[in-house]
Amino acid sequence: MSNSILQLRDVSFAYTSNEFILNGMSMHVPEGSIYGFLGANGAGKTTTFKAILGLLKGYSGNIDFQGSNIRTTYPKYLAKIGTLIEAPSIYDHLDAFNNLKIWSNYYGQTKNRICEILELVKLENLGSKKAGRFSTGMRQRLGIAIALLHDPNVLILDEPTNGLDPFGVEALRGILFDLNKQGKTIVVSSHILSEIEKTANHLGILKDGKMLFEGTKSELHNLRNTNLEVKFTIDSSAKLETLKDIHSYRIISDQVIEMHVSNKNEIPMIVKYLIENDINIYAVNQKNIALQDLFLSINNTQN
Amino acid sequence: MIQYIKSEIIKCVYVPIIGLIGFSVFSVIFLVFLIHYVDVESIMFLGKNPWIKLWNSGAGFMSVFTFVPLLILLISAVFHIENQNNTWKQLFTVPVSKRKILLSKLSAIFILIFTFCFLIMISIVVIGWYLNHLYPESEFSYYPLQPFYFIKPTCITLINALGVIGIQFFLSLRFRNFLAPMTLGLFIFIVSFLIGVNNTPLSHYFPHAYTLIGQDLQMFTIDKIGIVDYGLFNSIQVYSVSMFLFFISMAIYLEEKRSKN
Repeated sequence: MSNSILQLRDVSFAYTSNEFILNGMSMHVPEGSIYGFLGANGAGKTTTFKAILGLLKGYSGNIDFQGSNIRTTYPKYLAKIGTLIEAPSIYDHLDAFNNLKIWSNYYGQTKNRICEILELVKLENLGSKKAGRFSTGMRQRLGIAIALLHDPNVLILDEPTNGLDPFGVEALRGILFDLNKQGKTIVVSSHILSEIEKTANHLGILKDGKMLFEGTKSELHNLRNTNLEVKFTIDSSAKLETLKDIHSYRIISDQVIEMHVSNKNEIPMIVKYLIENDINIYAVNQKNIALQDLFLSINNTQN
Repeated sequence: MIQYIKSEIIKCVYVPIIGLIGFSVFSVIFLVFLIHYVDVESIMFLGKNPWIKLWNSGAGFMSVFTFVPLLILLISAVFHIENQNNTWKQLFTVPVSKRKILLSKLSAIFILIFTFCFLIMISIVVIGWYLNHLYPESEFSYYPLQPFYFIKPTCITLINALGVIGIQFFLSLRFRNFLAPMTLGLFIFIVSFLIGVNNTPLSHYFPHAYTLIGQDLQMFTIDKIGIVDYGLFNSIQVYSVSMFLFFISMAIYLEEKRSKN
């Protein structure tokens, strides 16, 4: 991944000497990608983001943004990064415009840009309604607006779908796709795996402060296709005496057997064997290869 | 830097802060008005400008009773805006150094303090006119305003209060909540007040008492405190400025070294 816009190399961080939140973590975010950052709660996602954003001191290893170590370019490099860390940072006693006005002063943005962004996130017609009275979805959109205000190259969003209803999630996904089409790199973390599956084209899976997997979504699917659980529903497992000579299997019930295949190409061979041995096949189920399953299987493998 | 200060000012358009300043102005003005309304003869001396007496009363009440509690509450509230809205993290991910962010916050605090003093000044003028309307013999309309008699003691009070500003700034930034720095600040103020009014050299060790003892407000005696006069400044003002610089520098230094936000 030579075109990484953001790169973490062997980053470790601990609050106490034996309690590592990040443990030799490496990460490569390709420029122009939507990078899904997966991990269970407490895996170290937010800590990783904090390290990238200069909110964490005392970590070991290196973090490069656009080829330069962030320790040397802090805080200038932050002008190219938009963030939404944990909950949106909103001043509840102010309206949407004044919230953006505050941040625009730090980024040197104009009033026109504020109006433009409010339109983009569809918060332009709220008048003087205080942000404290916004719905969760509106707050999340305002948080995105703050992150986008200075037209950053990279967006870092920490669990942006938290608390959103399905319509809000869909709307947010639409915004992220549009931004990605404009060339922005988006790093989005979540423990909601189905959401990441629909949004990201690159993935990193984190567990206990270590990157377990990093690559494209198809690479992850391929990885999973080489290690499948297949369930066959047949007329009777009593007819299977010779099957164990060609493949091991487990009998789940009288009519259901399950086997582990190392490659999906093995499945037709087994089907052919069953047919040749007069065993009727009623169903063949391959275990769900959705990312959730992959995520769990990768985590389990490590255990 | 001006842009950052503007941001801080926008944040401070916050009901508790406006209410706090409004209430503080009202309490000073109410006391000044009440005392002169009840005892109007105290300002009626033949050939003497009644405005001077009124300015002195305003500056005295402000310095003794209102200024330090207001600073404690105001600074705690300014920091509380970030705590309450959970905005520290976002604030420290803007491409601006923490030092500049914190100094712009400090500047906004000073702007609020100047606003408070200015409102008191305007209100004293209104009181003078009103007293003149009620008691034409008080002759406010015959004399010039001479606001210097308010501006000078107010500036000295502000210098004397710099130590408190530094301490409260430090506490509010370190604690990152409202109750702890406010309670601590008010507790120190009460102790300092009791020591300050006792005319004892011990007052030197209590910056929260400096607004009482740093100048003669003709409200209590300060002759036994042992204040050294250096001409332009006195020892209290030197201590106050030193504490301000120390605590503000420490607050910024420790914030820059903070391991996690």
